[in-house]
Amino acid sequence: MTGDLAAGAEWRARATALLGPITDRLAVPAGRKVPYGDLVRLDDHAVRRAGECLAFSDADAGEDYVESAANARRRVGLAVLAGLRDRPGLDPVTAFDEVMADRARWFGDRLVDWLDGLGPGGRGALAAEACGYAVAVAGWVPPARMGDVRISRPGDWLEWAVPGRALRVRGRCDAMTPRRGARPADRRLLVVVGALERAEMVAGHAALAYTLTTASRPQRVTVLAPAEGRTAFAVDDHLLLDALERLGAAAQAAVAARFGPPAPTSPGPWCNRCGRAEECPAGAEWSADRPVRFGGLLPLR
Amino acid sequence: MIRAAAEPLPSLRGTVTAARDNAVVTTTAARFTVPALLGEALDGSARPCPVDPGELAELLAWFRAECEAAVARSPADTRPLRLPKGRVTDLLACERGALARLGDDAMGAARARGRITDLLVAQHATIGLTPDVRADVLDALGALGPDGAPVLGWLAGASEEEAAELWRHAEVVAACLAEGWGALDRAWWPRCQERATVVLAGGALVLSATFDLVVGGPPTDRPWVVVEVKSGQVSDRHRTDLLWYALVAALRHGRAPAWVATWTAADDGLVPLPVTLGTIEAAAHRGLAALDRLVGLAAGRAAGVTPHAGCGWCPELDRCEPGLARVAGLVDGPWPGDAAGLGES
Ligand code: SF4
Ligand code: SF4
Repeated sequence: MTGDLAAGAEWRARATALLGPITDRLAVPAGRKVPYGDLVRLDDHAVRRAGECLAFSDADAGEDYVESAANARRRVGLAVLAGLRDRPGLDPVTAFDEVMADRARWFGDRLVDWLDGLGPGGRGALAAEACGYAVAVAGWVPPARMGDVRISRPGDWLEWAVPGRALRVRGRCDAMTPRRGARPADRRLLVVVGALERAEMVAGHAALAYTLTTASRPQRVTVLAPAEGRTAFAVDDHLLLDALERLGAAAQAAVAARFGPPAPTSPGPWCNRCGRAEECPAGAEWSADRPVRFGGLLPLR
Repeated sequence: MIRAAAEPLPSLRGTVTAARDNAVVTTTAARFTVPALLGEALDGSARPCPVDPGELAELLAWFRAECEAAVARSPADTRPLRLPKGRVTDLLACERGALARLGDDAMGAARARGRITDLLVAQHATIGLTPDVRADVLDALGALGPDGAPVLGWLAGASEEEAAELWRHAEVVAACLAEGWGALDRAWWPRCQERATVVLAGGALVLSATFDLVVGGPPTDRPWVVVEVKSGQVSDRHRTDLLWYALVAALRHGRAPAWVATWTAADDGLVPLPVTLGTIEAAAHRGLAALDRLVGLAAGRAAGVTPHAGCGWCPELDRCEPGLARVAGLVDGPWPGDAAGLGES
């Protein structure tokens, strides 16, 4: 085993040692297939929430999901980006037209059904979203190196199954480079987010998920917020250890949410997005003496 | 370092006759149209003075340091302070009016007009409009899901007259786009509703703007042009809004756009502003003036009241004697360079 792979395997062992005891109530007998709905997935969203409050609840969030131009932005934008990479000189709108014409090849049934139902106005709204995303990501590497970028397909995840547990560590990466022929350890990852506020957490989680999935750690992770800019992190033990610690907290929160008893609370500005806000005394107390400000200002009434 | 205000501009109004009922639009001044602006930007003939990267970096560093010093005077529990474009305009026009607008996100006729104008521009700039403008708009609003719901909700509750007025506006916008803009060259890589956020003072201050239409610039090899879309008619006051776009764009990307421009949908008017170091410097001074007010108000200072031409659209008007007097024409208040949005979006 090369040094890289040995290091990658060591991170798998560390993650197993940390997560195993926390998640013993998610144990599954060897060889038994776990129904899809019973799996717990620790993604960067879960890690972020646990970092804010272990008892945070967004259990209802998925129920309201509807396809929309904003929700399809990343999936369609990735396909547009692939067109820009593969056909130098192509413009984003023409790439978008080509993706729409070939949508059954690119996307799953639910998105294809929604796209089928769009008229010209809806397609225009979606084109604006998807092309904006693609152009923002295209700036990650100089155009001459674009051909060397591997672009995630919609639905691609970095996912590692924790041995003996109904538990997956799930990471996301929008693009990586080099495209092919490289050892996993030579890869540089790109993750696109809405804001850079928690860039180190996002980078650490993506790096850890990649390391666990491929048993080999990447070189760097760049976090890009199209509105704000980008920041890059070298992947070292420090970044991965912090990420592993946050993963442990997310596992603890997930187990408490499923089996109880309730996890300890830590109120903050996130309480107003929490599904427990109405019944949680800590959250209510925190909000009680903090008037809602708009960018620092109190409204007249 | 240049410390002058932005250069004076030539007369910049594109004259358009818009026959609202049948939406026939005739552009009579091709000089100030979107295609003419892009053409001149491309051949470089209209750019008076390219921005020197070193001087720009120096100016932006000065602005960042000034912001940091200003924000340090705000109470910690009020941070992060946020300055989107509209708040800069509101704060400089009237502090009390600015506070009255906070959290007011109710959908009304003006906002609905603004929203559908943006959607029509987005469709025109990408896949192109169809002759059935109403169907295009309804389809786009549906595709936006929760983001389109407020306009659809407003339309459902609007009177026949209000709805007819909105659809007339949509027809005029579509006609202006078709005749005034023509097909937009896809090689410009048009992008719509591009957000730019600049985080300063270690996260204590967030400046932002949404560019309605961006063409050229990186990663294309064309000049970078930012266009703000307004649903109303052309006005000189739009130039001050443009300053903010130039500043935020320069802070976000470390380079200046070649042009910023406002396009007004009701009359196909165009106010283009070539971006020079002076433009960005004027924007920086204006931004710091707004920030100074924001910091003072956040710290609890009483809001000043300065009646201006936008009082008629202020949510506080019914409770504001100076504003009522201004609207009634009893007070000849100055037209502030930073009058509020005057009911447009
Ligand atoms: S309301 Fe706040 S403190 Fe309570 S569970 Fe939710 S996030 Fe935690
Ligand atoms: S009505 Fe005019 S003067 Fe009064 S608060 Fe509003 S903007 Fe200010």
